[in-house]
Amino acid sequence: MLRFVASRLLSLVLSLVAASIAIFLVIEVIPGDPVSYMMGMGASPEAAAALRAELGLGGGIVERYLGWASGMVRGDFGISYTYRVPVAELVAQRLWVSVPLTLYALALSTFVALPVGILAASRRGRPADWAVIGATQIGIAVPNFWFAMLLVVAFAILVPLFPAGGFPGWEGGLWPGLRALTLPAIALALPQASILARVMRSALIETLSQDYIRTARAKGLSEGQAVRRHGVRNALIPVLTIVGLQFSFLLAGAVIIENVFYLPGLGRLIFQGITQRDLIVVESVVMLLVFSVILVTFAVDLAYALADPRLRRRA
Amino acid sequence: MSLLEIDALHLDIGASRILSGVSLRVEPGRVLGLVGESGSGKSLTALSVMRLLPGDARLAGSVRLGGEDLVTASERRLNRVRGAKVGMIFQEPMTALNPVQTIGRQVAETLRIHGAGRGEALERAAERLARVGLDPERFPLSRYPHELSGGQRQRVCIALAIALRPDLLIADEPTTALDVTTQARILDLLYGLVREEGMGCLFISHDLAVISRIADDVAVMKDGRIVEAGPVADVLSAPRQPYTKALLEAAGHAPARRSGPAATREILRVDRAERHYPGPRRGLFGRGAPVSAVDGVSFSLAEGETLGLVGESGCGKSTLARTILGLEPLDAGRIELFGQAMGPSFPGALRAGAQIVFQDPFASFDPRWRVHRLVSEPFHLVPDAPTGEARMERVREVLTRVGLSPQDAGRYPHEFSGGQRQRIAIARAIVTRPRLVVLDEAVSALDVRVRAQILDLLARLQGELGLAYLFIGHDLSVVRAISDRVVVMKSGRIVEEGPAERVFGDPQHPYTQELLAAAPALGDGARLRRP
Repeated sequence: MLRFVASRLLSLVLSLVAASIAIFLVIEVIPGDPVSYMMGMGASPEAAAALRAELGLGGGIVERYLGWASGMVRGDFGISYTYRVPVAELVAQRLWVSVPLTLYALALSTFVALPVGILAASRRGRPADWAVIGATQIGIAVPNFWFAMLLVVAFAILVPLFPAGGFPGWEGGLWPGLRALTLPAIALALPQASILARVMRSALIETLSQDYIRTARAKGLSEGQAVRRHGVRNALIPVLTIVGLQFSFLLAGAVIIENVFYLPGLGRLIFQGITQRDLIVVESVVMLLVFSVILVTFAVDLAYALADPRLRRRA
Repeated sequence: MSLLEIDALHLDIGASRILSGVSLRVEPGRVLGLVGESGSGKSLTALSVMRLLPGDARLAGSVRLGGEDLVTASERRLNRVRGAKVGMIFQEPMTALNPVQTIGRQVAETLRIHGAGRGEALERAAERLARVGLDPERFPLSRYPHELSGGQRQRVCIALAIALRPDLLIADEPTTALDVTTQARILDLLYGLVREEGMGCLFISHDLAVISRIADDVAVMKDGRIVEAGPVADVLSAPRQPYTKALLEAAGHAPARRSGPAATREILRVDRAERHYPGPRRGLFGRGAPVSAVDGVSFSLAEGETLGLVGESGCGKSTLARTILGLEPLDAGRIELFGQAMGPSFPGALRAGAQIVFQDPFASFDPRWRVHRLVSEPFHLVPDAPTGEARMERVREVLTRVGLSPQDAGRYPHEFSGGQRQRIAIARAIVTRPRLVVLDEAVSALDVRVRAQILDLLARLQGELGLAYLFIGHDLSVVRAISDRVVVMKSGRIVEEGPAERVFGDPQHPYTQELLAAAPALGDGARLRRP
């Protein structure tokens, strides 16, 4: 198991290096010069060159890459072109919103989806199963910004349990923060939970047709016991894969929901960065997302190995 | 009163009748063999006793275990009976165990579910695993199923079935997926358990020879009915029913063939062939020693000759077949087919001269293709292949040759039975008029009567078309019946080679002797040792 972890860690580092080179090159070749964008078309060449040097845009490509990469390792992401503040500071503020929101939404979706999927699989073809299939179909089809607005109308206006938008920060304690994130988390969790419940259902149905379930029944386990003891854990691999993908997606893919609820999250930061040609911000946030995807993949790999002993030997 | 009394059992699933009035008796300390072809209802008889039937099954009649009627018992009651009074083992040891739980936990679960405490259950699990031959020193409870071989896994399945010393043990084709030497050991184990613990055993098999080895009594099943029953010695030596006679005849069937090759022209020469696979990973970059699937194998095959290739699973038979057809590269040595060295530049027209028939008649066809397309596929190898009506004519001709009708060309594979599909596979193999056909376990998945027909067909085609066969098999009696010469493989090497009658009649190598001793055969009087 230790060897497995070590080999996964090594591949994590290699992926990071490869990804950083790819991101750097892509941003390099994207048309659009931030300097001319910031200074306007009529800027003098001398002033433009001075700004270029200040922003670290001078020098050869290898030099610039190394400067950027080593800065990132030290936590120095550079200075935003538009905000004129360190990108690290900017990103850190947003992470305090996006990470809790993502975890909140993921927890909601997992805790709802797994039992629902298990229920549907063990009642396959019966009314409960049909209800789950129908409900999850709707959950996937409903646009989440519209669902978010319904939530606001219902739980912020008609029954004012939660705020309609904005984020008070964590300085005021855990509860006001969580309250502000509840409706967005529900809006984000709905489609994710629907997908996850369907994956859980089909993975478990597949598992329940396996020979070892019949062996379990022949030992004297009831149907429910066979599902709980032998079915669920074997069905977890595809579920873990989807959960991992959802984490990375939610971290930056929540831009619409962030807009609906006026949340200062990572999605909005990257959206603004792109529209304002703030390439340092884009580069850093993309790198951060790649890092989180790789980290989550690493965690999912470890979870696979915990769930299935056959995967522990394969390094 | 017998231990298990099945009377007038009827089973319907959906709209089809599966069992019609099955009656059986199993006595304590004795083995009842239930024999029949696939689809005869053997397994569903066993699952009816366990009441582990699909949701739309309707059961009528009575199944009495120690006087208690199981047909009317509640699900709650059945959960107390299953595992405690009746243990069951299945055909596929590779899939019958939960891959994510240790073997100790799975054996202990039988005990736990019927009320034993955790420590006690583990202790008795260890004791039962030792009883089935898995010594706790070498096979601790913490092993996972994937760390064991097929035979060892079947031992774990037996241990969890007998953990509570049930009165009745149901074994559904427990050795069908195993090699002959492993099969012999598992049969020994089961027989010893039945005698020692006084269990009754319902032993299901399609193989009359296996039944003749282990069973005391036998019941022959056909289309959901018992056609004949009685003590094994009586039924198998003097069958009264025509169906039983037909089964026995088919099991020992030897197709009529002319003896010896007509020509001696060599078409295949394998010279010190080697094929290695990378060893298991060790550490981050390292690998263990490579595994030799084929390790210095040499033999030759003449036109019109049949060469039998026998050995247990993993001995390299199929890898060898794939390298001969150029489907896998050689790592060392040389293979010459029709006088040309096999390799990436081997000409397609010559390649068309060597074809293959696989084991599984269900998995080896694209289900969305019609028969004419399946059969004419090898034509892509032939430079001047017939097209249009001429091609269809060739397809119809080979279909007729293998005993199907020309109209079958327009149908899909799922419309055919297993035997008919194997005929389609043979038609596909001979459509390019090859000189060599590799038969890779081509009759192993077939019922005995169908197998006999296919063997006859192969012998006839060989006579008509002058085909050479490389016949790969694990069933020694079948290989003996069809081969001129045989080679015996073990761990990638040939251990013995010679004319079929000589090798099987007077084996020289200890491994060949072991194989022959382990292989159950009808009428050889070889019974299991009686403790």
